[in-house]
Amino acid sequence: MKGIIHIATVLLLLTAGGVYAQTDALPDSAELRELSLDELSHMKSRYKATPMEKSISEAIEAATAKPLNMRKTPSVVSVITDEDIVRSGAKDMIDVLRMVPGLEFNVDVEGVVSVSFRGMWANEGNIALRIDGHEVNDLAYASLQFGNHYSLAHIRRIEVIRGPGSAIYGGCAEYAVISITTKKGSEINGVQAIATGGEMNGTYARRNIELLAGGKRKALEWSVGGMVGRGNRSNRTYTDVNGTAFDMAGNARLESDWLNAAIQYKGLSARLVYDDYRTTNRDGDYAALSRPYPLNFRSVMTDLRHVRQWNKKLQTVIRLDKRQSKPWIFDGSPDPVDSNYGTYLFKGSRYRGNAAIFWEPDYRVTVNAGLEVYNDRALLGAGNVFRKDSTTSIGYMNYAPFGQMLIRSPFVNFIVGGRYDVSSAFGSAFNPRMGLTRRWGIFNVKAMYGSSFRAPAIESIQSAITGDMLKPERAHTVELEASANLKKDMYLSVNLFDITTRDAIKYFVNTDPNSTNPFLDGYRNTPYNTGSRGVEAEYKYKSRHGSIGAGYSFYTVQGKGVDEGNAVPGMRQITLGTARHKMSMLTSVNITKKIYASLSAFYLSKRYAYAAVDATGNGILGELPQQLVCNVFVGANDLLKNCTVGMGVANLTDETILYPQAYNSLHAPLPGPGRELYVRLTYKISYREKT
Amino acid sequence: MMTVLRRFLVLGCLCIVHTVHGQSFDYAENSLYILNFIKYTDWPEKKTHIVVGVLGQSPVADELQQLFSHRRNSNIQYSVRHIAVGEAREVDVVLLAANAAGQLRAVTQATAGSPILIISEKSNMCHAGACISFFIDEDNDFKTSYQLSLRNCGQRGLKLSDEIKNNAVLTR
Repeated sequence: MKGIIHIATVLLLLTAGGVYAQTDALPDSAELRELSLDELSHMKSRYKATPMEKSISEAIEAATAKPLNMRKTPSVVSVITDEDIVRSGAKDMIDVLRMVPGLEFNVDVEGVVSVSFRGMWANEGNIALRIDGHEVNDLAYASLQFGNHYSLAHIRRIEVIRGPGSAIYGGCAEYAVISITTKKGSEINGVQAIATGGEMNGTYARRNIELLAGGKRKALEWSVGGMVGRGNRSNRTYTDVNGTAFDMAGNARLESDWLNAAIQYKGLSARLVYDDYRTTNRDGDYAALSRPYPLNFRSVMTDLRHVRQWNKKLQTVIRLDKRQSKPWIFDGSPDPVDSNYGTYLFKGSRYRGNAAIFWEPDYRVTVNAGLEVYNDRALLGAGNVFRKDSTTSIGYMNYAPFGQMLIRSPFVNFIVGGRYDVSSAFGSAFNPRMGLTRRWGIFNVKAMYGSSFRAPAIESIQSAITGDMLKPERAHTVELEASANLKKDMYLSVNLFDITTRDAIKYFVNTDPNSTNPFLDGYRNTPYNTGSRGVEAEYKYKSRHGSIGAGYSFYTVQGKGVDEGNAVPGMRQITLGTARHKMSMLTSVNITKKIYASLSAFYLSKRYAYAAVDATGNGILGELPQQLVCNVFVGANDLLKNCTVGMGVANLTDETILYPQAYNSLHAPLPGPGRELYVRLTYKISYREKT
Repeated sequence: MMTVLRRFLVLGCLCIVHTVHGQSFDYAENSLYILNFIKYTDWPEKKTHIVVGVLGQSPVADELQQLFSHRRNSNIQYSVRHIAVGEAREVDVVLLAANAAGQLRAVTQATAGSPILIISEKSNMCHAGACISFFIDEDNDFKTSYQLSLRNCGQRGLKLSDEIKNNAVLTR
């Protein structure tokens, strides 16, 4: 730890001096002196913004209907650009999102690794992962799956809204929104092939091929991004709570076939996203299985979007999309010895329509309003029936009018808005949001309140333990952020948050021998408030010498309730499986014009998890020591013609990365990858610019 | 753990080094804007000599001087000079440098109702009485832009042409 701090100190001091960009003086020519006001106003900016200034002035698209820049947008936002991803040497979405304060990775069951946020397990509909506007949370549980999933090369930008997003995105965006935007055709402008190979001790980590193609010809723009990925979760040994152990190599495969194709002609655009994620697992729900079983997730998403600008002040957007989702699929037959591992065939679809207007009556006011309607349908196969309705098919409707108004004044920017979801599945949920942003010179403050909700997913609704209708989980979040553009190439933000969750939807195992409830397990609303509060900070430095990004997050649940399924017995400040302190750092230095070197690290303080059971089958709480993982990466752009090469070592010290379960379901911590040596080769052919 | 945290905080402090900054204008560009504002403004009485008074310290004064020196053949004579608040009524255009923005209230009171175009280098000053207020538009590639208050101009009997209005961010 000391070493890392010292290295970071030296790098920070080396770069902290920064270089001020100079403004060019206008040439003293008669021609320029005669420029009219019209010509002056349309003249290219004379101000040479630094890379950092450009970075923080870029519009954040995910946080408001009308994109505002980082300092004006009324949300706490982390932005990761394609350049950040490439320079960090990230191989996987886990590497990328680890840099975001508050986000951690934990195991769910059956080898699936997902996210917790600000000390709260956030896998099932608490965080929305959106790729080009498509919510990719599965339709059965609204869960997310990470690990050699999703093509990184196609990503242009990731915006992580670290706060409620339901006022815009509805019932999957309770705690945060991860919004991924891929590259447009004009940004790809050619064909690219990216090969990534990584080896761990004993097995390979990944063998991925990604392909990008795209271009623009007059008003027609198109792009295609694809990935064929094969990988292993870990090369470690997994030991379940009963002490049964197996080698993860070959037993925890991660295979991803991915396609994202888009076409746009003027205001009309269409997109197809195909996501086939195939895994194997032997860890099961808690007891290790006798052999690896496949567990597959397949989604096909399509959309059609039409944007029409009626005049300078009015725009309409109509979007129709369809999502088909087959998550958590195991269509084989378990061996008799693995009788608790069952066949599961779920086929869900969502048909959604969204119509919105954007109206700017004058420069101070922007109004956005509209209606979203969607229909969820699901079918269960293999002889299974939905538990509550005792049927193989079900369907729900959801109607959600929404509106938002942004007012810009000389003193503050003020946003107020809300969304009212009415569902045949869970009733209704109204989610207002309010935010103020104010700038004083280099300083900026934001004060925000947002109500948000987690809509119970189809399987949660059908597996309600009481048999009653599950209520939507509601969160009330208050956030304050102060930031400063310390120098032209330096940005620091610090935010406080306080989240109170009401009616939290929790998976529950009924262990009460006197209970008359017929169901052993299922979902229920926690009868008391839960939540967390804490502080997060992000520091960014960017110049021609390189860049530094650092993040810190801290949470406590003291003074907030904790569901018994997430509680660490005897501790009032921490929840199961999560670290109260998290730090991350990415430093990238340009060695020559073409070659750069990056060092990244993340630190987690100690965590608690159940890793064993006693003779009566009760979990024995274990303490996982603090964890520091360091990675190095060296990249060379255009070393050979059209060819970019990168090589890195991830988990340099071969630290035991663990994904503990963030709730008490007696799944032992799942090991992550050991030290990995990897190479990334990119070959690009650009289309010729028309002269 | 606390040691680690303390070190992280020390690092953070080290990062907050030296000076703070703000985005700076290209003053030559601003001077061109000011010249155009004058050209496209109608004063109640026809002017043959326009005097720009600069309140506070701004490099734009020298830029204007240089610019005006190239316009000797024009029908209108231009000149620029530094002024104090009490002299604001003696000029046709008052340019408040960023470091004199605090004196805007005094200037507007001293010149209330007079046909004097008040331009502020500091952003968001139209609400305090400025006719035009420069700002750097972060959302538009850091381009120099200006807010315009038609109400403040109207109260001073100044008429502005469409060229100024069309390129402005209009405010109250």
